Amino acid sequence: MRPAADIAQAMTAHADTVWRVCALYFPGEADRQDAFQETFLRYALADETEFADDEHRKAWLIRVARSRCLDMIKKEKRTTPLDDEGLEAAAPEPSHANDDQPDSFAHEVMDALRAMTDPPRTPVYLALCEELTAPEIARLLDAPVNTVYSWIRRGKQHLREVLS
Amino acid sequence: MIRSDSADFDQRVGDALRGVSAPEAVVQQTLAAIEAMRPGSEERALATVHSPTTTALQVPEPAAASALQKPGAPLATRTLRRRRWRGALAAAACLLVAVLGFASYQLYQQPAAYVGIDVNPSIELAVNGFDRVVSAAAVNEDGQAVLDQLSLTGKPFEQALNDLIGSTAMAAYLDEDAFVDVSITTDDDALASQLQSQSDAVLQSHAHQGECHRADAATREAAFAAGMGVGRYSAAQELMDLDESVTLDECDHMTMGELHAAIGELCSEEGHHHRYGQSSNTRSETAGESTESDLPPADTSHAPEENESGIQPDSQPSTEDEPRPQDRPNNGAQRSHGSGSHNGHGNQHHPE
Repeated sequence: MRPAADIAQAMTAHADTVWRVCALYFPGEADRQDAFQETFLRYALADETEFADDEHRKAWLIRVARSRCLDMIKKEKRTTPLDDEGLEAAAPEPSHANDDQPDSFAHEVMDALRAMTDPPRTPVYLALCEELTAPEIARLLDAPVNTVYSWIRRGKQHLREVLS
Repeated sequence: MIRSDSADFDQRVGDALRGVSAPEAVVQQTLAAIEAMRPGSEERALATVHSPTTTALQVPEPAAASALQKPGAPLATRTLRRRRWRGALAAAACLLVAVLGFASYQLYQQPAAYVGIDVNPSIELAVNGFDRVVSAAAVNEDGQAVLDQLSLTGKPFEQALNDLIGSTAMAAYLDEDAFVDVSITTDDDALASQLQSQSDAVLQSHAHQGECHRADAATREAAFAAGMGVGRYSAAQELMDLDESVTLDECDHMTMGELHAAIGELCSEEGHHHRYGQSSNTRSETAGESTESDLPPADTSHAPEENESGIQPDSQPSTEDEPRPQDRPNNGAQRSHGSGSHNGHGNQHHPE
């Protein structure tokens, strides 16, 4: 397991990013927290991984967070039938309660992002919020650069339509 | 500097998003949960942020229940490392085998020569370096109809050619006047002569008129561009040289037999001067050598004296001096090889 200091450092630098990535998938607080925790746990257990720099670490965390969210969603889909009511009740209301300094425009943006298909959801988020370049996003998502450009363009356009 | 609206919008969105942060409570809970799982950290289970601690793994204690914790964690980690490493090695080995297998397959499948067969149906067989047919393609519809009825790939070339010529599918086209033109396009001379002798053997055994010759890549490409088989294209070129009124399209609809007959008639020379896309042997050839090294040995079963076609050359006088009845203006200008028996190479060289 990685040293506690290492984990703490990673948390300080990237907790917000990881939180937001989880928020892209889960409007609900509980799921979001689950994914968040799992992501850092995986980080803690990744003894073998050496990070070239902090950007590398951040990209790693984003990838893991995203994959964790997608796995959770897949599992939910598989086990829902009987739980429909419970889940639906918990899920739909995007809980902004815990977000520090909720800003209603931010909520709108998150809602809009969650309503998008992914991609272009993630590429747009990474471009607009994390300010990653298209080549960086392409590396992170393992997609061709040109595709990333078109995702970003489409996504931004969609956001403009929905949010203005 | 005026920022565009969209840039402003992007900025707004980005700023808004960046305002969303992870709740402190969540952060703390996560750190705590992680520490609770640290091997041998029972006493630290409730601690949050620490001063740097050693990662030296201690004698494992019964720790908080956790699926992630293994007794003898150090050992587990080492084993895990070793297992991963071995796994990677195995994967690499498999990959190597797969790559080599694929590469050999590719090599095997690589065509070393293209053999075009034109009678009326035009098809092309791709032959690899081991004399096997690796693919068969039809150049025209008749060819496609024939191929649909036969399976020629994977067979040794001679057998494939034999099967083709002897097939019922081809029988309809192989009447008495039929002419089978086999064109070999390859850079490999050894392979070419091998294919040639095989082709000759097959043609002879089936007692059809025919001819086997080499073509060059440029001719082949030009032929395909025109949608014709190489042999047909070459013959068509020659016929059009002899008779300017003939169009390529007309030639496309003639059988090889008809093409050769037409050429023969128009041929003024002693021999039947087919040009088969060979680079040398233009009209400057005067020695009257009948063949180049890559022309097949005389097809004795067909043309009596001509190596290259089944058409009787005799009708022509042996020199150019006599103007022929059906004179083509081209002829005089083009034919400059003079001497005796056929030259085997055509008056004009077309796409070289």
